[in-house]
Amino acid sequence: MTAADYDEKIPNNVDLREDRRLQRALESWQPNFLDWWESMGPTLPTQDVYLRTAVNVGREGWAHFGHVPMRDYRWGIFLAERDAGRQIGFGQHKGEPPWQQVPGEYRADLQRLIVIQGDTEPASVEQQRNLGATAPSLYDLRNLFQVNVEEGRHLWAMVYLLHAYFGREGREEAEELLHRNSGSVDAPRILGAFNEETPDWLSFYMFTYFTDRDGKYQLGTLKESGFDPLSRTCEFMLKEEAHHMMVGTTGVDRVVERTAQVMVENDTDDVAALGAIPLPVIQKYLNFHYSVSLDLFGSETSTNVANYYTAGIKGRWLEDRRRDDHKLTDDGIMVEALTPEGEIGQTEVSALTGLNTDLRREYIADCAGGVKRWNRILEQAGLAQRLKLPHIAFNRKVGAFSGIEASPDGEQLAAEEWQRRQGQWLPTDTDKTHVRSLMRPVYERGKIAAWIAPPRQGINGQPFDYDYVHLS
Amino acid sequence: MTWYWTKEDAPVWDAGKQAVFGPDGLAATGLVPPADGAPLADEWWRVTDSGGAVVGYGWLDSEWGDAQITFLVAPGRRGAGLGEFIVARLEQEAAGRGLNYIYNVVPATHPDPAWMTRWLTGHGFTVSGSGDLRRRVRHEAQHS
Repeated sequence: MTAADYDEKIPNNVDLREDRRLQRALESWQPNFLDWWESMGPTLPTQDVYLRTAVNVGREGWAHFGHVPMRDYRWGIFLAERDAGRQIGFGQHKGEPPWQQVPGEYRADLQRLIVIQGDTEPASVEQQRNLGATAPSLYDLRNLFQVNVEEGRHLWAMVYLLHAYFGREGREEAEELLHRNSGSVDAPRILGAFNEETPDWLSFYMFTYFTDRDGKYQLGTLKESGFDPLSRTCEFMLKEEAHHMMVGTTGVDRVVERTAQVMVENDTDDVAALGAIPLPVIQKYLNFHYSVSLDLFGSETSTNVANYYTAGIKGRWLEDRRRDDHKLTDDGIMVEALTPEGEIGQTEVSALTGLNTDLRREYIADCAGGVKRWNRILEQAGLAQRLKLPHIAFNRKVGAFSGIEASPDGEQLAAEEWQRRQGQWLPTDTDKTHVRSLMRPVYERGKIAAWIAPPRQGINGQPFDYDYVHLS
Repeated sequence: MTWYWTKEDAPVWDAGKQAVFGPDGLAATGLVPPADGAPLADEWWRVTDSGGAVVGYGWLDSEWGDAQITFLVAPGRRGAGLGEFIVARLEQEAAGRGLNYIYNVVPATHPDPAWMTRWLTGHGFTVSGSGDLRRRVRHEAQHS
């Protein structure tokens, strides 16, 4: 069951050949996917790219590396191994065997969750399609394309579920996943944050650190699902997602490292004229991407998410490590709120309706790890400056703080003061122009742009100066 | 007629709501009411008329970029365009949150689901594959 069948038109480990009808349906979707990849995928012409391709879902040796023309990448369908002893870990079905088919009463909710997850995957490819034109090195270009092809594979993962378990409606939704496009006026992607073009590489690293991480936490909740095929799909997607996190984490590492280096060498904070990105600008990009990503978790309380949990279709992050009854019917949680006086505070609600907040807090704690890491780079360079996560009320458009303005320190501000000072905390046109002015492509092996440090190690044991990408 | 749209920062299941909803309103919206005075999930707004009387409610449940809207017009106030007013305001709120789609689910308990579905499709909602009724958020709604 674990080995992928690469003799098939669609590589898979789900015995697709045993279900001819499903196989034909997916094979008829495949050319539409390839058309979408051609028209909405990466714009930079390449001969081939040193890519990782999943070949197995077991613990050892799950991927193969090699130079592949991107259009010939073997996008496939892979589910993690089935655990015969698995039980649903939460909600009213806790302790029951997981469902191998979609329960009728949860069909609409499951389909909606799968469509939303599926919609984000091609969206990020569309957002990043022009970035190849300004890649700081072949190593980074390769990483961008690896993220892109795997987001494409994640689309395949969701489309498989829609085709295999949701009948005609599922097939129609799978088509729609290719018709909506990032930034389209008529048919935009579902999530607002997935409709802006990723304009530069600092934004790309911030996006992969903060926004892809949000996706990781959503996948983590779906991995707990009582619907076993969804759980197993998400489990394997999380394995691939780890590379996307690495691209973001080490990308910001390397920007901070280079900035610190230029600051120390020139004994100045003003590194813009020296071809680096000033720390305050990095902080502003961090502020923007973090606050926008916090909004993606939704409002502090949600009836739907409570219902999903009780039904057993969407759990908590690392559900099995929680030390409670996994039903939460009698538990409470403090969530962010405005006090009756209109100040930033908290209020207690049912733990079930507060699950968006629970997930957001897990995410925030994880994000703090990146900041700690980046500050260690500054510390090792002998610099006193530090980066930090802004306050949870800063720049929020969703939830309890959507109606107020707050500084990164959590100081509540009048609207006009916010208007006057927001340029201190969020990227201004000048900041963006400077960052974009640095975005010149470096396609020579072993060379890298001046605004970013080289990586400490290459991909799959290869050196930094390996020929990761052959351009056309 | 002038109506006023007010956000409830800490919505609770209070006497005002209980009076407006009643058993029919609960059935029509699928709302499971908490205990008297207990906090309500989701983001809530109330609509009042120029005399200060509550004439309706709208609420928005957002999670992972999606937003379900639900609303109720008080008995005796129906047929005056209040439903349209509330949906337009909820769309405006969704636009301000960067949300691109809103949807409504007609609950199985609704006394006349066919009428409700017709009303929603008549206001630009289309039935999606998962059975909910969905509408693209017009972002100019933020400025209307």
